[in-house]
Amino acid sequence: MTTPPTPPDFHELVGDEGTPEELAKLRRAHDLLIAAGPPPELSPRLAEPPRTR
Amino acid sequence: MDGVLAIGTRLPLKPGPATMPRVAAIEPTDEDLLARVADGDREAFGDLYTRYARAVLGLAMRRLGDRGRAEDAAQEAFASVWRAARTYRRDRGPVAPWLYAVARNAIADRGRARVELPAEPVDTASDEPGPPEHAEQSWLAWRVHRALETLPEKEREVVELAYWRGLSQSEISDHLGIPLGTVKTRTRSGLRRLADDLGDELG
Repeated sequence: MTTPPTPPDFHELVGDEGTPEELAKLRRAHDLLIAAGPPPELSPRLAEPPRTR
Repeated sequence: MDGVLAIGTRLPLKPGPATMPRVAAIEPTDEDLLARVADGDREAFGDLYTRYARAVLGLAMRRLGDRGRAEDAAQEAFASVWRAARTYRRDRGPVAPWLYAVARNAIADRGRARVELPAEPVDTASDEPGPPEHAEQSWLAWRVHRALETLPEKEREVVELAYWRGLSQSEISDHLGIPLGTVKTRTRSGLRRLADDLGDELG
């Protein structure tokens, strides 16, 4: 397992422009991304869907 | 997660040549694709696979812990999706939770077939999250990873560089050769789309 990079700073990322509602919305997406963590990358073996009949 | 190391392979090292902006095509919904899969449409199956492959693999890695087994389980999960597509009923809800359940069952089958202990032992006292928390976290990651796949490529690119590669906005600007303002605009737009897509999870 590789340690994920330090999460980006929200304010550096989006600044402070926008309504409180807009910023709260962006903040929640930011928090969800951090909570979810990075998805794994697909190996060449998984580049295509499995063969089916 | 060892897949993190390979993220760079998916991201362009340098921006490509400027091109005319594409007219956004209307993307088929997951429900449309699954209906076509039920009719044996392999192209639709491939499109659905593209949308969910990373989410399924992430779920499998979280449950099984081992990359090789997780890849086997992910393939079995999609084979199950192919076989079970006819059982999906649009009136019972969207595809995402249906596909999650099919994948989770296929992964559980793979887990039960193991000789070794599962990667997520849950009967030992610790501060680690228990089954409900694991399930909630797995579903959250599933939804977020799926939502990421729906972003326009240029927005997904900057979001992944910021969150998964740890690049600052200036570094992303340098990396992609685009103005800093464009990076910020794309980042905000990407986060806004994710928030809209994940509305149910934001409550």
